[in-house]
Amino acid sequence: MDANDIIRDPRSGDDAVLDAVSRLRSVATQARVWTDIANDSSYRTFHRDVAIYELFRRHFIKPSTLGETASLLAGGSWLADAVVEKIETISGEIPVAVPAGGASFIVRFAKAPARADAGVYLALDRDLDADLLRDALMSRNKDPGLDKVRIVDFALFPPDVG
Amino acid sequence: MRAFIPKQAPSRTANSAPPAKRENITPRNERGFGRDGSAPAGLPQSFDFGRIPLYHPAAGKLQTKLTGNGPEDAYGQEADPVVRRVMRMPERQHGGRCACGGGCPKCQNVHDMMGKQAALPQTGSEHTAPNPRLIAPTAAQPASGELMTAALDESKGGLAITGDGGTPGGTLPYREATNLLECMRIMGDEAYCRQEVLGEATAVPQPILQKTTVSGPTTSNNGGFSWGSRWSLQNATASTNGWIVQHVTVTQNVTDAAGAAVVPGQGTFGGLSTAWYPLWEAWQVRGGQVFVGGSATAHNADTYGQNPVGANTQGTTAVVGRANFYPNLTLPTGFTVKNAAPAWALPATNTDPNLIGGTGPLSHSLTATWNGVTGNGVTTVTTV
Repeated sequence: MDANDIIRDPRSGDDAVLDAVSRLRSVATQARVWTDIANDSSYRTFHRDVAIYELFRRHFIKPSTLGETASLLAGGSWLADAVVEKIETISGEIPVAVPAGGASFIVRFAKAPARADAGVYLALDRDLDADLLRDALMSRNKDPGLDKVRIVDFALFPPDVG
Repeated sequence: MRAFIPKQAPSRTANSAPPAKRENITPRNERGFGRDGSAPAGLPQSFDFGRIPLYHPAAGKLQTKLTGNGPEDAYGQEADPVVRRVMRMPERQHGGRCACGGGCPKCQNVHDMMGKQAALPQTGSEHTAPNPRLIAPTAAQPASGELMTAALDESKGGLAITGDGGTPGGTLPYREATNLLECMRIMGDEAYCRQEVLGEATAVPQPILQKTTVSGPTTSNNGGFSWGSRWSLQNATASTNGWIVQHVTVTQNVTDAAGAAVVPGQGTFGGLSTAWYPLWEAWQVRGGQVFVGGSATAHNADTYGQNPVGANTQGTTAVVGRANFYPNLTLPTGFTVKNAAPAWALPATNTDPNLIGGTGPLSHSLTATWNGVTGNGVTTVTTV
């Protein structure tokens, strides 16, 4: 079966999905393939997490504005199940560089059973609250000015989605 | 780097050094050593020292000509006798210190050997036959290499090392010379053996952990702060590997307007939770470069940050860190990445890993003070 077909098939098992993903070249698929899966609750959580991960890994370009990112996420309904946390207490390091006056966030994807936590660190060039960021990414913000806030850096974790 | 092994005459190959002309000349001095370095009767013929660029640790002057006691000196008549020689050993893949930190069987052999050799005479005038282990054949085949001669130096009471073709040499006490050769036979690492046996400084200085502020410190009222520092290693080279491990503790001494204790990080109060500490967190060093934990992301900033504890609070937050670089450390399995406060992307543990062998601790501390009860809540910060 074609890798794209396996990825699109909600009945595909975890290993089959991971194998199919590994067979795809870097940007061999349209972003729409991943957003369709990420935003469809009929897929298993892990399947959706893989799609979110690959969407960022293959299609997100830094820097991008929140407006551009919201378009990429195509609604980002998966964010309703994600945890968006502003990083303020720290005695360590995050893998993104935060500019002066900016803020950093961690977006944890919905936790798939028996799988490691997965998510993405984001560095913004402006300080805002986590709820505002979530709304902006889901195209729900009421402040058009937020669309111009830029995501200047991002880092996915874990290093490999599997 | 050059390294050597004892000569193995029967196994000489096309690439090994040709027989020395001196091998056919075998007059013997009073102590029974032949001009070609052949041993007295009863001693193995492989009593050969090698072409090792030995230097006297204290003497800056190189000896290129052997010395004797005068023309009437029986030994002086043979002022140039070759008494030892060895062949070059294949180069070690890694230079400097052994990666094991001293605990591997090879290192133990060196340490054992040095302890046993301590009983050997200190001077050449009292010299005895070398430790038989010195001349024991090894599995390693001699590589190509020129000879270096070693002869008795009665005036200095040791072995004078002379190089063919002007290779610099020197005079070493007999025990040091034999220890050095034995160490090199076992370890095959000239820099390591020079340091271990002769106490010479290695050519490559130890890495020194340093930090540079890259952001802040910035503050916000009622205890908020952020301070970013970047680690680097002075003297790091492409072969510098290991982990930087920082031990962090946090002390909170905060009260509210009524004087009641406040626990930052709990309930509606912001700030670093003391429950997260003590903490040990780690950055990997690969090829002299520092990375975020064991990831491929280059290290940017170790950050101490706290959001405001809350309005109408006053007190002090003290973050005390001590970082150390541990060369060639394998990070204990207890270190895990949680992608959560306070270490975030770093592998960390709350259990003391009891690490040893660091290059020296580096203080990395911050104290924040504010008064939002009777004052304006402005936070002041001091850093070390």
